[in-house]
Amino acid sequence: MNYHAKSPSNHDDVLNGLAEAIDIGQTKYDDAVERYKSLGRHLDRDGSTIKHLGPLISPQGSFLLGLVNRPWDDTEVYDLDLVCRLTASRNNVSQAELKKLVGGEVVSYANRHGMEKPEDHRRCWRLNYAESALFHMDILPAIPDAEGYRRRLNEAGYGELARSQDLTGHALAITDKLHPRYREIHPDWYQSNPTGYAAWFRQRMAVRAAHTGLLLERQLVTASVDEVPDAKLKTPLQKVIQLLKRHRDFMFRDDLDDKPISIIITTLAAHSYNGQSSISDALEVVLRGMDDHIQNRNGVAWVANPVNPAENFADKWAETPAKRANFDRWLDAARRDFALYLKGSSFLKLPQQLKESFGQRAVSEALGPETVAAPAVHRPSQGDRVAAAAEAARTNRQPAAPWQAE
Amino acid sequence: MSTALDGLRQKIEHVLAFDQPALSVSVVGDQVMVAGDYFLNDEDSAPAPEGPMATFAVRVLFDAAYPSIEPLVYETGGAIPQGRHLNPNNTCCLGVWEQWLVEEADHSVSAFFAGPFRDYFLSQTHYRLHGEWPFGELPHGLDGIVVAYASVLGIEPDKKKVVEHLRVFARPGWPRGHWPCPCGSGRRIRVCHKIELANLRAAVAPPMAKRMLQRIASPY
Repeated sequence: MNYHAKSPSNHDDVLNGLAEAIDIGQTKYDDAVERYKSLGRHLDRDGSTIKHLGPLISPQGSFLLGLVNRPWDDTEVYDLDLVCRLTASRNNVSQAELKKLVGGEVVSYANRHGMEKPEDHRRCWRLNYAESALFHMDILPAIPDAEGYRRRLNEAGYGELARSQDLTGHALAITDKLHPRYREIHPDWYQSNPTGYAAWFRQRMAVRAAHTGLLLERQLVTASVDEVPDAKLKTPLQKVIQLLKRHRDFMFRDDLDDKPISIIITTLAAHSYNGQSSISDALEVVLRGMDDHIQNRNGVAWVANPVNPAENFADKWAETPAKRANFDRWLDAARRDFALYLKGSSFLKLPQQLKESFGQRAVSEALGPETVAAPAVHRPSQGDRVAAAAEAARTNRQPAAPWQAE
Repeated sequence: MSTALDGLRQKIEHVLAFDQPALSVSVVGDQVMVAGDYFLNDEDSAPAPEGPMATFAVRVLFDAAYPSIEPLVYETGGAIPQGRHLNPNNTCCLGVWEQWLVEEADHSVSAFFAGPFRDYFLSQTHYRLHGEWPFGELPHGLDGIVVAYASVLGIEPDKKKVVEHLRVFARPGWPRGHWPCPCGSGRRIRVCHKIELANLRAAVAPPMAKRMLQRIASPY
């Protein structure tokens, strides 16, 4: 922490400090943006074999939502998920051909920059940067398909959602090797809608102004939904999700396969959040209510994709009960650990579980230099506080007089 | 495990979730036990920078018949010395249970923890810091019960009068106009405290009046 940094004076300051300390940070963030833009320029350069398809690279996933944490273990790499949109028709090109076309240019980019050969994954191409950069980028070839997406929503009975331009207007048809018609020219492709999800998330993260009750959208609506959000301006919902993801990452550091997945935590948290302007209020509301948004559809636990409710983000829970059990276990632990801090501790005393989850560096940054950390504002003495609490109880109720037994 | 007991356990867990993260809830025998550290916090939800006003180690035993049967509350950390509202059996004296049942409409687990339970630990903390009981205190033993019941009935704390009132309420049927008024005036109810008694009758039903009479006969 900088010597001039403000010392925290309450729980909110410390939680904000923790969220800031685990965030990807401006330098790494700018680095990531520059890397994907560089790739985008390469794909669209004169001489590119796919220039005629108007390739457009944009982020998806946690990067698009502004939810990227530093890996809890500093040797791990950042995943940067990208979509490569192409103006093509599914009547002229198969998924396999599109994947190959994009792959050719990704390989030429890797060659030009002395990087290792890109990996051909199920849906995407993976570019591994040099070890020191601690990045890899997953590039998903896709074709805009709002019309097909809306048709399926309508067929599934979600007509109102289908009519929302914001939520469905950017839907995509994506390449997937496991699709039965992967090698055929056929209009049937799997679909995805990361931009629609981001638009929904941005609506959910609007902050309610304490005095007016109005929702403030701040920077949220100014940028195009495809632009990565400003790393410096984080809303309470974003910070809360980043804290929860870090708690999850530490708890499941040895069980990567069955840990609760980010999209489930993000979706349930965003549903629960209700415009709270302080991070402690937001954290409490989210932790208290997030499991209320797990639906039960004929006995199947369902975490609906808000922009395609027929899709269940928790579809793996049925076949792998450990995943459901881990989610429940994690939510219990997160409730307990954060509540122990908010309800049972002074703002300067993080419970041991949280200290371990966030690590020494983040904790030191959030708490500030120990010698100067003290409440900056005048606080009533304990005696005054207890007297005021008793007075409040007398005002609100008729507290019972204790009875002096013999 | 009985369904009623498990339902009560879930209710208590739900009430304490997040607000009291250091209390655990379990079924022990035919009771629900709440045990651990209780954080005495301000009533609003924003966390105070200095943390809770006080922390008490507690054990609370709920009977499946809650709220009819008063929960047993123990302070297990030795923070409350004898003579500061501990019953002879070492349970905490949260007040006279029937008074709470009659005077408050909400007897949920949530109302219990926010009301008598919190008030007890708040008043203990207040006494430790200021040397006085913020909500007053009732006299010892039976006299305390009489004072509490008299307060419920809105009459002076006289054992005889309290008993006479309760006998009227314990009889089935509406207090009849020709009955003698329990205020001791010698007049009949219809020309004495007719309206007051009619109002009280709604709050103190016959089973509650019988229960209060029994407690006067046998305070513990």
